[in-house]
Amino acid sequence: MSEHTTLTWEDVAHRYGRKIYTFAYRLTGNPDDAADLVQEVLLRVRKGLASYTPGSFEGWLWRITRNAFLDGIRKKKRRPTVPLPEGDFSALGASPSPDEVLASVRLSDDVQAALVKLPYDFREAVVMCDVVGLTYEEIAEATDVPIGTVRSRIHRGRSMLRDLLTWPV
Amino acid sequence: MARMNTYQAQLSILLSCYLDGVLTDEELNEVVHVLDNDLEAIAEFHKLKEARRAVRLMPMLEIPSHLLPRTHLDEELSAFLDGELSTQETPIVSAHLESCGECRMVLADLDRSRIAIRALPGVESPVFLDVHRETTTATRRRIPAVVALATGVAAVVIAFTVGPFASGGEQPTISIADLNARHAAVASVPAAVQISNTAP
Repeated sequence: MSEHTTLTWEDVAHRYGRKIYTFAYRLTGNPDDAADLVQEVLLRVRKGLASYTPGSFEGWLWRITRNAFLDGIRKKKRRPTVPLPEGDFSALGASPSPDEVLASVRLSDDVQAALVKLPYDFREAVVMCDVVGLTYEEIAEATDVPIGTVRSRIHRGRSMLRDLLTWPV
Repeated sequence: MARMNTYQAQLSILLSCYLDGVLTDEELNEVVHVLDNDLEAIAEFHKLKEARRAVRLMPMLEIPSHLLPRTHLDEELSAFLDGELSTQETPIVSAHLESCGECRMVLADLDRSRIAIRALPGVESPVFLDVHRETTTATRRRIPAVVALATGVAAVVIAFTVGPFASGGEQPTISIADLNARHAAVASVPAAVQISNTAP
């Protein structure tokens, strides 16, 4: 998109800041990590815009965002985005009455809690697709994997979510 | 989760892709055929659809405003004029003013109105409003709030009405360096001294 060739980093911040923040928050469930990521991404955008060559701006931006996110994880080695062992989903939805389940299961807190239990690759694909709204092609470009892998990751992420959340009958 | 065979796993991926509208024509035909005939596939499809919907219904979050770059200064400008910025804020505001003509214009306007108000003469209160007139010197100097407010408003109106004509419509010029110096000076003057400057 040619309009992106004239964007300043401030434009990017105002246009995409909210999405980047939401992306990071949905991946981590942690507002501090999300804020750190936004600052890091905007810094990288500021440095990178000068050398940005017209192409898929979304792909470029989300690749930067993803790399910043992964670098942050590697550096900080913070708390827990470690997935549960396969098949052990007892920490979620372990409760109770059908009424309670009906009332709460779809609350975003529950979905958020389920999201952070997904293995990173699946979580990332689902968040990019269903939260950020990227196409499969854009996700493939941002994550540097073939589209077939994107399809598989999104599906597997959704399948795991489906099992983590208790759906009303 | 029961283990799926290869066909089922492949079909399950297609069902997910079907939700996102990314199937080829051939894949689409296969999915439509399966959904017409296979109850298990239909159940699987609805579960995937619910999972997808749940994530999509999560609200987009508001980004904390401090993470976004500031476009223009606001209340910091008055605080800058009054020497009320913190030592951390002052260089940031100063740097922004160096590069932002719009904020410099606003600053100049604020400065003009601030000067106009500060230049107002003290007013002796009418006798009938000051029951303690003869009691203390301090009381004698006090200006009734209503009179002071009315006088202040009148001065601001005059400043903004006459100002542009008096200056021939020129854009205000303001020196950030001078203001920085003033900022430092004002910040170092005790409050009591500043108040006494406005006395008659």
